[in-house]
Amino acid sequence: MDILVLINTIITVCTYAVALFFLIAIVRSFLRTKKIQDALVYCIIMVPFILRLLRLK
Amino acid sequence: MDKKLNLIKSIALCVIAFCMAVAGYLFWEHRNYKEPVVVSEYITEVKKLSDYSDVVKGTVNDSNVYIFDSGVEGGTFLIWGSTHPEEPAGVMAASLMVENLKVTQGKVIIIDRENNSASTNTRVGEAYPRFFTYETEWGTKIWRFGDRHANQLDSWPDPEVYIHYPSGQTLANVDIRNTNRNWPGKANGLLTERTNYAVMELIRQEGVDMTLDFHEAELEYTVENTIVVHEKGQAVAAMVSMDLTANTFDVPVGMEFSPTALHGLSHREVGDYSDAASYLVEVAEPMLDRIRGITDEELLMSGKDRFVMMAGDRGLLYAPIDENGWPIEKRVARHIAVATKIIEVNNTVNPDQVITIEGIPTYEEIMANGLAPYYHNPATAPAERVYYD
Repeated sequence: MDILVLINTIITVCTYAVALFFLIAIVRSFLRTKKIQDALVYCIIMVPFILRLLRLK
Repeated sequence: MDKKLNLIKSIALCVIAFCMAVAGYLFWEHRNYKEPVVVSEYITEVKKLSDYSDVVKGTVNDSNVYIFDSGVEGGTFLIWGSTHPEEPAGVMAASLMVENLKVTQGKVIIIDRENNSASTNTRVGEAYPRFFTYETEWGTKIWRFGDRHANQLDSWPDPEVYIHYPSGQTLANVDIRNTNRNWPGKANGLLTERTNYAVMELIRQEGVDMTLDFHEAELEYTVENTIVVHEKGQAVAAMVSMDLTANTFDVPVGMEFSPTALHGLSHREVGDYSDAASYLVEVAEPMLDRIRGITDEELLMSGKDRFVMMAGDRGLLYAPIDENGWPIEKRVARHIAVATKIIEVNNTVNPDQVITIEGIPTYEEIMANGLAPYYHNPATAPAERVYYD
């Protein structure tokens, strides 16, 4: 396997892991927050992480 | 307070989930829509690119390869569209040929979607439509509209600097996903490099004599309405340019030499790394211009844009444009005319590579009839003649 392909594969796997980590952190913050504005913001910023994890975008 | 907060959170989640479901479906539909092609009754075989090299097996770029072999000794011509799926005349011209071609001497091979992955992509921030359509008597024919780069879901991340193989020339990082920047390909490279490697294997294994790569270009770009050609095809391209300009086209088609020091492009590398003479043809597509107005399917297909026209009035463009625009019929007709004229001229220049074809409409016929008569209804066609790109 070409070194560039190997590096890309590792980075891609890491990226999905990072996306999952941040999604969990956002969901946790969403559940814990007492501020309505923060809750709305957490809702919105979940979207790209979910779309990425589902490999839709 | 907690009860009220939980209610608001629940409502917000529902709204976001709904919006995400709608957007997610639109993304999914664009990525998974299959384009039906009703192949000509004279087709001899449909292969996959992985039949020539397994480096693309199981990938989105394992494209259909449509083969028209007359069984009579002659030349072999490979044509492909959709290197850049945001240039729709390429895939439309290739599809039209696949649906109507009859070869009576030699062999013609066609790939509709050379970079399939790129046709599932879009250009961020440009508001590109997901699909483009053409109305026929039997209904609407639909194609995916994409970008010039393969989808990041299939090839990511891009390197900081893309180093072309084998020349070592440095290019913009995103061009690692542009199949017209990484010819002749690399067997163990990223998706687009492997795709081009597989096409090069096709060229070698089928003994291809000529290749033609369909493109479109913005009117602000210098390489416009022209044939770019490798040294091996210069005599033929010059004749094609002169003949079509004098006898057929209202706007001349030029001819340009493929630069020897610019690497990764099909007109350079295919000629250098195989026995084939490589040609690339460009036609004007106003939707690609940076100065365009509303970016929608109407502009894509009609090629009419008042801002591009204003630039033309001020002499800022490399192609003429008037209130008639650059309709898709004219763009496809020019591609078809160049392909058929290359065959015709090559038959006289290289008599050992004769190809004779029937069933393909002339430039005048397409301009008079439009494209609708040449695309067939997949719903009523025999199942064995319907393939999906």
